[in-house]
Amino acid sequence: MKILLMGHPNVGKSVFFNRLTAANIIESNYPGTTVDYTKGYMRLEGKDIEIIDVPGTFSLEPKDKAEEVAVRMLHESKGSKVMCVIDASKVERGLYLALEIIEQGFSVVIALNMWDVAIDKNIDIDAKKLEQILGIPVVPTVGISGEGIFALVSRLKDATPVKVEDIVERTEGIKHKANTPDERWALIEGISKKIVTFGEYQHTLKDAIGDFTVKPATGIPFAIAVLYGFWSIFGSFAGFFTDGFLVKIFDEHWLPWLQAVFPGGLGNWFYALIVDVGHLENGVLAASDNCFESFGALSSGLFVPVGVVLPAIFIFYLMLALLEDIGYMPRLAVLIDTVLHKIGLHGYAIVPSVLALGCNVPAVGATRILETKKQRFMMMTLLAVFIPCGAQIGIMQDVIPGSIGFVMLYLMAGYFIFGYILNKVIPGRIPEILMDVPPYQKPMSRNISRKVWMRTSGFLKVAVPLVIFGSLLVNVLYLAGTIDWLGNILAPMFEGWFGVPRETAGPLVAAFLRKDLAVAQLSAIEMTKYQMISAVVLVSIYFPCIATFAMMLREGGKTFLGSLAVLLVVVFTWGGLLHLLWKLMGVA
Amino acid sequence: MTKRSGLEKNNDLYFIYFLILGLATLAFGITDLIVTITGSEYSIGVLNIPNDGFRGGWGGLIILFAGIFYLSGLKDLYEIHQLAKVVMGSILIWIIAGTDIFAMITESIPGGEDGGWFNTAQGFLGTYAPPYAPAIFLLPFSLVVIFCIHKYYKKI
Ligand SMILES: Nc1nc2c(ncn2[C@@H]2O[C@H](COP(=O)(O)OP(=O)(O)OP(=O)(O)O)[C@@H](O)[C@H]2O)c(=O)[nH]1
Ligand SMILES: [Mg+2]
Repeated sequence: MKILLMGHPNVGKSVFFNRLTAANIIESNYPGTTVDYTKGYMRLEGKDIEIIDVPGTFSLEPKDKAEEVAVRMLHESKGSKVMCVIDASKVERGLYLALEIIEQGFSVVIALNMWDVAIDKNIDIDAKKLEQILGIPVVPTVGISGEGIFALVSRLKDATPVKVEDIVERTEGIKHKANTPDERWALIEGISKKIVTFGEYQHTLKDAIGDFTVKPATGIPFAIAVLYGFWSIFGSFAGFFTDGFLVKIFDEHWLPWLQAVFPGGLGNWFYALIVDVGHLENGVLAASDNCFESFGALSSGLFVPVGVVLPAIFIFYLMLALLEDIGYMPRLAVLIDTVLHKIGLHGYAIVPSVLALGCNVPAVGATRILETKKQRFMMMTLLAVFIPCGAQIGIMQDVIPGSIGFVMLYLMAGYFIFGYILNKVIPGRIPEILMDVPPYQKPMSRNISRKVWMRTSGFLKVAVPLVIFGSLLVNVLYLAGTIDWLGNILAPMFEGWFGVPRETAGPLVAAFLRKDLAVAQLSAIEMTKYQMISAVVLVSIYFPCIATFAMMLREGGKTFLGSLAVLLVVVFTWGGLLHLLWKLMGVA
Repeated sequence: MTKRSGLEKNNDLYFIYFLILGLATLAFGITDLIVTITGSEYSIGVLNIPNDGFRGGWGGLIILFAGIFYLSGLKDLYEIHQLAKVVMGSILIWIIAGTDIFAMITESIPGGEDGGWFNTAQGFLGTYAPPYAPAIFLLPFSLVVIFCIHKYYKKI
């Protein structure tokens, strides 16, 4: 037997899944958190039963790629049982999907989840009566506390296929069948009249603030404050660990120790790869005194991911998890909807965009919640090109603290301008969507800590090996003279078109593996403040890092070539424009 | 309506309180923006107005917004949507003051570039000495909304 967890977006399916299996799936307070299915196993009466967390879907006529996955899962799983999760405070909407699934002949159990919310809202549901009408088990549950989940599982065995005609009959007063959407809605109305009573409900403070944070006049000032707080805490926290302690540990203890105990010494090629390439001082090779300049796989290669990026990534994900679980993200989405519409996207594009500020890889996956191919292509391309990831932002804060604001603004401007152009030239439609804004919620520390841990450890697993490998590779290329050769060949382009030193070739090679490493390497090159800004912008908009690359290929397929074409155009225009700007200002 | 909110009593008092607080907040916000735009240094006694683009510019703007939230919400505070505006005004101040204090804490602990691992006791305490930014002064007065929320839910 197999069990599918199905239901509308944001009703708590992933919460159920995490409780039933020992797995860890990201749960967040906005629709579209899960975009692909996940399998897990649950132990029931001595047997392991496969259970699948399916992306949320409103109906069995899919509207986006995540919903397509859901519907496909259902069709591929004939004979399995479906645990249909319904938001008890919006029973009617959930019943529609449940009826569709029942109609397909599946055995269904219904979880009336968010029972606590329904009680708060004074909505009274007669679960017994609903069970009697539908002829399938119905259990009230509270996902976050686990209430009712055990009862739900124990009722699985009572689930059998039922005929919709029988439901129509038991509902009484409904004269027709339920084959068309209209007839189905009529049936649901009939059922709901029998089982739901709405008590008096007074707006709470939470609701009122919820309303004000989506209305532009009050919501935009509030959003500015939230982003201010986000950025300020990010800077203080990362500065505390990196500048306060980790730089000291790496530069004053780790690097000198390595230099002292590692065999070889300055000038030895193996020593250069692993510890320190050194630099020329009056024609003599001198040892580096910090991990930005040493370039070794064990010096810079560890310092960049652990010393600089780890604190930044950690605090970013901690605050993101808070905003997600409180339920602020959908409000940000509504606020920015009008602006994003101008570039052919809609408010929910803010979810992949914000995720990309942490790491572009999951962000590319999150584009599945967008409806059309055109939107997904645009979003993927824009975020891979213009949104710097948390690792890169963390290191920029350390290397170019004074110019980071400008870099971010320049990239953001590119995002909108190229978004506008892409929207005009790419054929395809942009559908209007109705955005669902869930109520604010108290975040739960268990969920927050799990999410932060999953995302941060995921970062470490990918970043540390790649940065170490990246520094090795770039060092080898340096020692072999390849980078100098490349720099000389491309010098006219670097110096003439982009206005950056030819040595930038090295970091740009590194950028293909890790952007954070690339920015760190830039800091060791002699150049003016403005050249540095140009170089950092180039690192951002030029090729996505290899991990993002792979993800885009997987998600976008052939459209990936299109993204590459756009990317080339952007690098030359947007990168060259910055040089022009410096020239006009007389600083280049 | 069944019960009345506890805030209906002494409505005038709340009105005057948030009027004064709102005007003070508004004034701080405007000063902050002017100081930042003109690039001047502004420090009298224990008060220091930040003048960098981030804390002075964006921060000043947010304090100005907080003042507007207070002033637009103070009438008929017992009405939930009015109370919500006042609460949001306070949240804005908490964000500014909170991040200021957090920055102070993170600065006070490490020893700095040439010092030891940790700061000296003197250096540690020195970080917390005045002058402070306006938001820090507004903070205690903004906390009154917590009392108001409490009163609101205590039906009379
Ligand atoms: N108050 C309350 N909140 C709940 C309950 N169950 C889940 N939640 C919250 O609802 C939000 C959504 O939960 P998820 O499990 O991510 O929802 P999902 O159905 O997997 O959503 P998608 O992946 O977007 O389809 C989270 O913030 C949960 O903490 C419940 O019974 N009561
Ligand atoms: Mg989910």
